[in-house]
Amino acid sequence: MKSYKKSSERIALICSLFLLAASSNAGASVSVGVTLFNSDSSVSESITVENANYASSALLLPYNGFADFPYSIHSSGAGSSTSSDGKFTDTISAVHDGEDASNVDASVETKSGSFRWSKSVDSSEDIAMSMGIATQIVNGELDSSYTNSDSSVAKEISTRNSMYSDKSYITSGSLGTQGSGSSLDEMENAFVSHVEAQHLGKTALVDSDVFELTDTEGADHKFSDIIKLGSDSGSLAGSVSILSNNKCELLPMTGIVSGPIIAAMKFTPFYTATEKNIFEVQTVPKDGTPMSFRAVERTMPGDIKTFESVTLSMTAKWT
Amino acid sequence: MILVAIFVVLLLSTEALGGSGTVKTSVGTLTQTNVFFKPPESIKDIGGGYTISTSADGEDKTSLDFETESNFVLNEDRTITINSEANTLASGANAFGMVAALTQTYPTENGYRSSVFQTHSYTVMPYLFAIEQVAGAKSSGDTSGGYNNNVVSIGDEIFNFASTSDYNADTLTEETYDPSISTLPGFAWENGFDYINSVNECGLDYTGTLSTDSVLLVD
Repeated sequence: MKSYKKSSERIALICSLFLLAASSNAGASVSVGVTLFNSDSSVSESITVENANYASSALLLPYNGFADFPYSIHSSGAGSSTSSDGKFTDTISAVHDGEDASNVDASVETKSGSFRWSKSVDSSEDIAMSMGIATQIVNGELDSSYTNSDSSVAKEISTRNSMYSDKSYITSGSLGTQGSGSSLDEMENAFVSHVEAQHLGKTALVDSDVFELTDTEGADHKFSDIIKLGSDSGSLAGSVSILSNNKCELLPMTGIVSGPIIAAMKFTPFYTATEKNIFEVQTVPKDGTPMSFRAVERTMPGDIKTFESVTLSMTAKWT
Repeated sequence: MILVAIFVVLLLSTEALGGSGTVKTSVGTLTQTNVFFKPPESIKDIGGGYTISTSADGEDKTSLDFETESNFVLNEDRTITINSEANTLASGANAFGMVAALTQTYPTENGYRSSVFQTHSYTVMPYLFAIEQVAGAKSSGDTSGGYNNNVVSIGDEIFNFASTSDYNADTLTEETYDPSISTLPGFAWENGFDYINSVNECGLDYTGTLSTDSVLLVD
């Protein structure tokens, strides 16, 4: 325990900080940088927002246990987009009592979407930091990245006539994100996804595409991704589904004939440092040719209903 | 060249009798998995296997006869060719189901790879019926596929329905229905196929799956 004598050699500072960055004008950008330090720890935060609100508060004490507080630094904040085209970058790094620095970072940009996030940092016997982020796009684009000291996740999502939402949670020792989406109607819908996870020296990259290039009703689609990066293992899962309604059937198109409904997934594993493939690129379907369909009206007696689905999925685990 | 063939014929028949009003179930199950081969010059296991399960549920008396036959061939590229077919006869049932899977695993320089072909079929009706199902599948290297053909008898009436999935995993389930099935209100049939490919090399375990599913309902 730090002695009062030692602490008296430092400036005893108890302060509360309140930061508010707000922008209502399209394209306006606001940046805030804060460094808090005492005899135990140093915490630095850097926040940049564009078309977003952000507010935070901090409590800075001279050392852990001062005045019976369970921490020496506490900082928390939250923000949200104010426009469908918004952006934020939030970076936190901290050093505790001469130990290695740890960090939690997030960066999100949406077009035709929205986001909100919150974060907190506590320095007590150790540093505890976390950040939670939620995003949503409707007929739009999402470009996001989440990072901690050991790993990172990057997502590039684009949707047409479809929506996508995800939630992510980052701590200094773990990173998790889970997203899902679906088409809004059965015509001219599309989902394009590029998801990359770096962890334990390996990078797993999944590309997913589904298109319905027709203006007639036929099929819906759904998609999802889940990434969990822990202290000693990582996992990634993604799926794309095409679902027919009860009036149509999915007629497979093969060979050089391609239908207006297309779906494919690609998995690329490589060593992060050298970018050398761990093994060759894998695809679903296995032969690398996208699934291709045409939705045609099913000529069945009126009292018969049929529903068809095709699901492409990938999972990966590594240590 | 090493050729290993295993020929399995099993016949499993079960019959359940019960009192009136008691739901009875008669289930036949055969499981055979992880039949590993080990060529003399190989230090790693090579193998394949299959699993087939069938079941029938009825209200009073349900019987199920189940017969399956499979053979295995070790190919020169160390993959396995598995041919399997199951013939099931059920009577006195108002629900009938089947799941089957072929599995092969083979070593690579940095670990293992495997492929699995799975299929399932489930038929439900508000009446007691008799059903004959012939389900077959073949898996060899990167290709696999299967089929299930069904003949349902209710009294003197006979109805057919079937589905197939090709050996290259690039088409949907292709179903055929007897149009007269539309005279069976409450009839439901769900079936599908799964192609699963896995790579476990250099500390990274990947699985890619292509699944198809189809549901037929008669109002």
